[in-house]
Amino acid sequence: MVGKTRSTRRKPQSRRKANPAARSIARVEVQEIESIRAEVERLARRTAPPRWNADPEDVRRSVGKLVLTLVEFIRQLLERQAIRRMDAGTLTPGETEAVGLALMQLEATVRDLGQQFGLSPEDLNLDLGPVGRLM
Amino acid sequence: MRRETDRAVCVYGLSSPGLPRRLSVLGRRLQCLDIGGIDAIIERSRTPGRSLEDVQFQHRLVSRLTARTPSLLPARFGSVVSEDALRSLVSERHVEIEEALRLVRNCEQMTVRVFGPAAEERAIDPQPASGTAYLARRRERAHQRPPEAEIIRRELGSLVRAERAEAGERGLRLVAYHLVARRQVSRYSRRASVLQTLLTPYAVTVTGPWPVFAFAPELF
Amino acid sequence: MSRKPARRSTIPREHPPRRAAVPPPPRRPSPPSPPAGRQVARIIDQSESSLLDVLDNLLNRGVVLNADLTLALANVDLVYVRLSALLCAADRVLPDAPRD
Repeated sequence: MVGKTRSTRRKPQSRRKANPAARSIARVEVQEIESIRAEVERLARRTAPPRWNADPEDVRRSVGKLVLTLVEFIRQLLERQAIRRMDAGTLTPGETEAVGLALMQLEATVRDLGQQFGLSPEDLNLDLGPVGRLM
Repeated sequence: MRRETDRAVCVYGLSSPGLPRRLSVLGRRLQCLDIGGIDAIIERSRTPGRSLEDVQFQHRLVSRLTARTPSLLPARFGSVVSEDALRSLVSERHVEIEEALRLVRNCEQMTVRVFGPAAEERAIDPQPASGTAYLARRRERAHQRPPEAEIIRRELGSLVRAERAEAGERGLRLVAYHLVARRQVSRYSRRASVLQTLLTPYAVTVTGPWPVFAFAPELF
Repeated sequence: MSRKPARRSTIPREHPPRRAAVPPPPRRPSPPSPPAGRQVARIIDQSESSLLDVLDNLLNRGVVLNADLTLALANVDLVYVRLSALLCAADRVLPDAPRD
């Protein structure tokens, strides 16, 4: 390797005081994560295919797959942000707990709904190709 | 009295000096603010949309910008900030930003992804007791390096100026972002073609060149 | 929407993928040295940009410049936009779906 390599783990510098702006992000994140979870559950109640219908061509399964895939992408993104802030020391213990809990619950919801839709975790990979194919 | 510099601007990136103060890209009127020798590429008077189409447009716009400056650190989507706050942040962190601008000069980003089942099966792990424990475990996991990372580095390392790599999930084992000198991109692509053979049965994709998103400094 | 897009899958199923071990070509040709005083603009072929790369680059990477709500919301609004679009689509497609 010509230049330096590093994993995305950042060496924690002197810990910054968690500033009010960062605190409000953590609170907003928790609220938003829970809103996403509620939206997803509401969608699932309306579109979950009957359990006896194992047809992979079922359009409800496609709709559910797309939604869950997007939610899963957002979940990973928010998780990454939370970990970055943990590494940088800008989350208080209370915030860490709140964000961690919200993310844990969101992950569980996505997993459970995925199973309900007959989707494996690998099915929720965002590899949709050109945007024209999204809808 | 509300000052002009209290108003929010949309930031597309930070560049080494040399851009004109006003420029037009894909029909948008942009400005460059000089902040202690770092140019901030901004757009005033526009609330950025939040749809997928807006994200795609910004990707195209940033790609155009890379043709106009040898060093560009793209901003994250949704970077809306008051001019005062922008100046303050860039000044405060100018050392890191300048170091990053030097690093990425005349480079592109290539992205390598390895798809396959995850190494560990998390379903077997007991449910963590708390949000904090959960996040700590996720952080552990994020810092893992699957063995493919070493293979990729062996094959491509001599063409790579810097690397950022992460373990993935949901069928993505690894994503590695490589900083490659512009003039080396063709050679890199040719050499990268062996990766699929080396990493069978996993599937490998190599995409790019992209603006150097993954090499922007992490300022929070 | 009911049919999986006919493109190569990058997720291995039971068997390893059997395709030529050639990565996609670079998205743009290397620009020639510009004549003095002129820059060569790059053309990105929109249809070739992978959504995954675009979203990963712009939402997950890039310099984080603001520390307020806009950033957090920018990330999640996409889901709301797509969710509401999909709920409408679901309404049209599934007239018999039970309501809340």
